[in-house]
Amino acid sequence: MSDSDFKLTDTQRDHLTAALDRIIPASDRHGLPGAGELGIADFVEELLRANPAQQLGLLPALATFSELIDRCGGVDPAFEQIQEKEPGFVPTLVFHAYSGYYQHPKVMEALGIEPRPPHPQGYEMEPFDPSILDKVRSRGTIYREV
Amino acid sequence: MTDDTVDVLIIGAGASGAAFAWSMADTKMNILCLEQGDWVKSDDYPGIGHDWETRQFGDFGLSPNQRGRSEDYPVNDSESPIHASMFNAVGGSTVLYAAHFPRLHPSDFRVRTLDGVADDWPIEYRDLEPYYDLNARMMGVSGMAGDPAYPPKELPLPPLPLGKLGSTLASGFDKLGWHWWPSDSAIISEDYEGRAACINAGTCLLGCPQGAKGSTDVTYWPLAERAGVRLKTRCRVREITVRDDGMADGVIYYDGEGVEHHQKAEIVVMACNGIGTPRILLNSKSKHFPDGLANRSGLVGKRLMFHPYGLVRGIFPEPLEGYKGATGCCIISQEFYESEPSRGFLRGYSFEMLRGMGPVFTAISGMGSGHIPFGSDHHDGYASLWDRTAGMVIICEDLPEEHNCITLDPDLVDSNGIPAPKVNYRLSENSTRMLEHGVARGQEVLAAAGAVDFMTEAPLGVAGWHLMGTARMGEEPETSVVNEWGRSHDVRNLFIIDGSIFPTSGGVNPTNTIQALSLYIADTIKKNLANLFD
Repeated sequence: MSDSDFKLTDTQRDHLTAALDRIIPASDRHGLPGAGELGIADFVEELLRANPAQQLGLLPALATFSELIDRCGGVDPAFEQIQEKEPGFVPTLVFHAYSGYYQHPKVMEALGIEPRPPHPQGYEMEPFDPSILDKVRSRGTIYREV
Repeated sequence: MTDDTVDVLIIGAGASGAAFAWSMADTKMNILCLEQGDWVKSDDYPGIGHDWETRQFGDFGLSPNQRGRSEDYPVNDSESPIHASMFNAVGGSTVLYAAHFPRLHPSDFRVRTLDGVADDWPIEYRDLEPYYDLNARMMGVSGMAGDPAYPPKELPLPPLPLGKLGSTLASGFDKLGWHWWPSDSAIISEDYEGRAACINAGTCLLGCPQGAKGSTDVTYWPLAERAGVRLKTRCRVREITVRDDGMADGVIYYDGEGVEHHQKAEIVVMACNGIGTPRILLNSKSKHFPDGLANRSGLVGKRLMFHPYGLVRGIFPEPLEGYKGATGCCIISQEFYESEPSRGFLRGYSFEMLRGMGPVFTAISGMGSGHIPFGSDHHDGYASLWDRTAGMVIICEDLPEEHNCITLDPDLVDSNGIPAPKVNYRLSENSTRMLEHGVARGQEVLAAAGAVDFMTEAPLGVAGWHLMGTARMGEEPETSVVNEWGRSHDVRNLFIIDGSIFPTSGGVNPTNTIQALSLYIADTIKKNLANLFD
């Protein structure tokens, strides 16, 4: 059952965005934005809205991450420490970050594929060319006669 | 609530139930099929949305435990390295299968005679051959005649495209002089019987919005319903009931509102897969059958076979356009299919080539294999995998062993309170050696095709999608559950037509054989209607 009223607070969103940018940072060389910069926090928020059970796993750890940011004076040391204090937090967030990032149209374009679902257009392929089988045919049958 | 008596009651609307229903329709008998799932509509499928890949981790996952829909039943597979996969809907698991459609080999029916292990089937390849041909026409099978690994066979449609990925892999097999052939695929390469051709979208394992993949909701069922077969969805069977004389007299089922019904029937036909069928039989206890229906042999639920799978992916230096094309149906190799004891194991396996992965699954898979880290090296890691992977699964013949079994879980129940199945399964030494051989040979052929690195997993834990052996067929009531045409030895108006009745598994995907068997059984019933219960 979804939790249609769920919404990240501004602080939760800011800190989640910071964590996402540590997981998938921007790369000028690859021409790709960071996951936080791309707005993948919205994807995570929607996921938590649709699957409230996952809020229990993620939100307390996100609160710990926020405390660490305040205590350590920055995102980078907090991101290091959260991996020790809440070992499940980063792997869970990595899964969600990868899922949201690589279905984003901007990333798909950067990968060289059309930014659309596979259906209904599909993809063009060359039809099968039977001449490619000549070598296999030349060996003769390989099944056991009974 | 007691429903009117029908002539034939089929439990399950998947691969076998659909084919059987269509075949029996020409008898004009009163035929009813009960299916616990529902129809899946074209726009329900993930392939039409940007989130199509992530839904394989949620509502379109292969495992019923993962999906957790009310129409699924849970499976306790905590004591098995291979986890059960199935789908409950009209079309059953054909809705999510890859649609590989190989046949068994003639030698698969003579395992005891040829190799001294397991059992021979009570029928032969030539008994099923006309039904394989019929099923190819009904499901719409694409492929190429002349495969040297098989006796001659006809297929109604030309092969699916190989693409750059398939051609690259084929070159590896050719370099080593190993067998390969374009896969027989229940995916239509051209418009066929009112269905539109495959558009190479690559979402087969999440269902086909195009209707090009031969799931039985788009092949057999429309024809069966048009011919008068009635199909009731959201109806879950709890048990089969018996008369005082020990014959089946129907089933007790729950409809979608949870209301209990007693559906009476002259003939009961089980088409619930190798886990669902023994589950219902074991849950159908009576004074005549205190150990479960049709279980005087003690073999109901035993001899479970899965097909242990291995996965080998190669990483190639060049893009392969691997996201294009039918997911699993590319090429098959049966170089190591027939028994050769010098390899260190009996029986054999098939290689089936896989397409590459979509963008999300590339990332998730690379995360699992360690190739794609998070942080500063992320993009380099991703670039090394994206559109550069191609590989294969290894499908090993699983020999039947009685300790591999389905029982009823003492605690776990489904949404209607019916006991859930429990799987106990151990990988045999023969399977372990076969998997090791397959992984090594897989890397060898991928290297020959140009791969520079590999990712492997064996056994493949998610690959419990072939469910066989748990109500085996045979001539002797003491050592089998059903006879050579699927009729229970103990209950003469009870038939089983799904993968449960396989005496052995072969080393290929079973759906084509399951359906050929169900068509064969239907024809045999029709020929014997006058003395069916003698």
